[in-house]
Amino acid sequence: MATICLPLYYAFVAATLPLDEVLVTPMSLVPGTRLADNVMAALAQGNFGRQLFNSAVMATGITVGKLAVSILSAYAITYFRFPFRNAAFWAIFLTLMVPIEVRIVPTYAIAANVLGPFQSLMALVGLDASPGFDLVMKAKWSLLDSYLGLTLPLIASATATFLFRQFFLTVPDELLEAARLDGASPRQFFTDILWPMSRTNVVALAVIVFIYSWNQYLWPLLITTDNDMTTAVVGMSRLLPGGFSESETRWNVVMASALLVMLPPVTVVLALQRWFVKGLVDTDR
Amino acid sequence: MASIQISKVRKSYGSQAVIHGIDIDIADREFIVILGPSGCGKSTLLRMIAGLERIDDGEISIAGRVVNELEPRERDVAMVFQNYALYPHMSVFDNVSYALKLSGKPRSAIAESVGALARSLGLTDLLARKPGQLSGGQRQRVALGRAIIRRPKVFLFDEPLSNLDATLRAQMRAELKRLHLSLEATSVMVTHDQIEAMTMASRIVVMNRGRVEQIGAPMEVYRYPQTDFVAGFIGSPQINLVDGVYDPSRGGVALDAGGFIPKPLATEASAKVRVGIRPEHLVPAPADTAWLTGKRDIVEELGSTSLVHVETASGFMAMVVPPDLPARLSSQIGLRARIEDVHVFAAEGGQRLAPATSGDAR
Repeated sequence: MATICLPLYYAFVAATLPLDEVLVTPMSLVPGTRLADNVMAALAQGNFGRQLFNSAVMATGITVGKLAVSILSAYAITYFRFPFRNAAFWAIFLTLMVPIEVRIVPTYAIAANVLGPFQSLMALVGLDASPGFDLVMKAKWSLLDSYLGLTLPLIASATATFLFRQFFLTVPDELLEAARLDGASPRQFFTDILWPMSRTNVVALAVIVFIYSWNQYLWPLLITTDNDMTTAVVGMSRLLPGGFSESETRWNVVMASALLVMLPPVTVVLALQRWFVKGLVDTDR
Repeated sequence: MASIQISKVRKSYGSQAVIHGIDIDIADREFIVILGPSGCGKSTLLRMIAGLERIDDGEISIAGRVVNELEPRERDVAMVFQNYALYPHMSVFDNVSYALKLSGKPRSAIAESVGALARSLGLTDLLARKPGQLSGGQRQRVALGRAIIRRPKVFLFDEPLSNLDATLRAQMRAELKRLHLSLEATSVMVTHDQIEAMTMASRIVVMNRGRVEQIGAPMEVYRYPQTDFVAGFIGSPQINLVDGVYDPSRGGVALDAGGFIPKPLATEASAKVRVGIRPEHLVPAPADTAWLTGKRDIVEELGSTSLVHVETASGFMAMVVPPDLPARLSSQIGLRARIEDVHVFAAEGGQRLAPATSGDAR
């Protein structure tokens, strides 16, 4: 416990001290009185307030999008019989093995111009020269420096789909059959039975996905160039030495912004912890 | 309510045929029990009536309407599942009223019918609870309530009592039968328990390996089993079956392991046969009139009766006798029965062979 908390406490103490006291070795372990000043300084620095907002939009967007897409696709591949169902499942499952770091270059290329792949395809089949396709070939739709660009590439996820599929497989078939006899349509079965039953899973996954997306570093760093569009995590890193900061690093302000960055994930965990416990204790599944 | 016609129905999973052409006519308000060992296709048949399983060939019609291509909800049937299949996240009230809610009934009407139903099933105090907080018997009642509330034409029961303990099962058996009578609905129940079948059915359908062995009223099936399989499956303790050869010149069956049963058959040909005599029909007999003799083995005291096991040359035979009799039996026991209580089946195919006398025409 102490091992986990000590660095956090250290950051907190540093965020409450004036700069000259932070630079004293060893640093004091008693909190100072300058917390409010440092937080204000952190918020004033660059566009930190705006970046926090960006982070919130991105993390919420990814969480909601990812859960919605994956629970629906899991529902489709578990409960519906359609051609290439297994192929669809394996296609999703295979992408599980490719993390964003691996596909980052092609993903960036697509984000830079969403129409790019279509244009190359058209060029490949020789359509680019034909008149009338001019406009299409020249069109460009860039997701750089936009919320869509920040969220969309991270929404697709096999992990969540896979988890939901595994959960759906544990739901007894008789429930579906009982619902069919009661007259439920596939949509009603989903909204009335399956969705309420997966609620604890959804909450658990939401917490994990939210923290994962809040902590994204590489992707926001690449896709945003505008300081107004980047995220808090990236923005904070720019305060560090070697970043874009002024010659002297103001450690107390850096720590204050670190506290601010940590705040939302901690809040989410604390707020939804009750649900976690409920999910573990509830046996009526 | 509704009659059900099942004609030439077939079903296979891949190359594995599980139902080989079944014909059953179920009359309105009948309580049909489909009885058979596990894997005989009885549940599959029930699920085909419900619409949960596709019908490969043949036709099922409910109330004169062919339902092969209809969704379960369009067939107007309700089903009680073996494990009840209650929605775990819903209260008893919501579980019972889900079908009504889906059919778009107004809230007040739903509350009214749930209230009436809960009173009749004794669920009034449980309406706010979740299924996880109920006992097995209570869950069973909720599952029944969920089926009843829609007033369907047909009730389907898939081994509804098999998850209950023995006392509760006997209680629910009577309750189900009462329910069937008061609802005036057509009911089809699947079970592997012959006592349930005997006590509840207006007619029993005995199934084996995807085929119907016999259809008939419980006592008819008990008295005149049409195959050796039915004879062995219905009745407890189990019927005694011994192999022999029918000898038309002597007018009886010579048992392979010695002994003679003077049961004349309608046939004039000699044939390999199987003889069945129920334990309750066997009586001890002196050596000169006994059909076969054996050594007294163990005795099971059942209270109202005793079950005596006799080791004969043809194997163990069971005999039901009054409780005070075993003490007076010697170690060598002769056995016989009334001629009309002897069943003879063909060794090949197991079909019942008609007796010669007209008194036992069936």
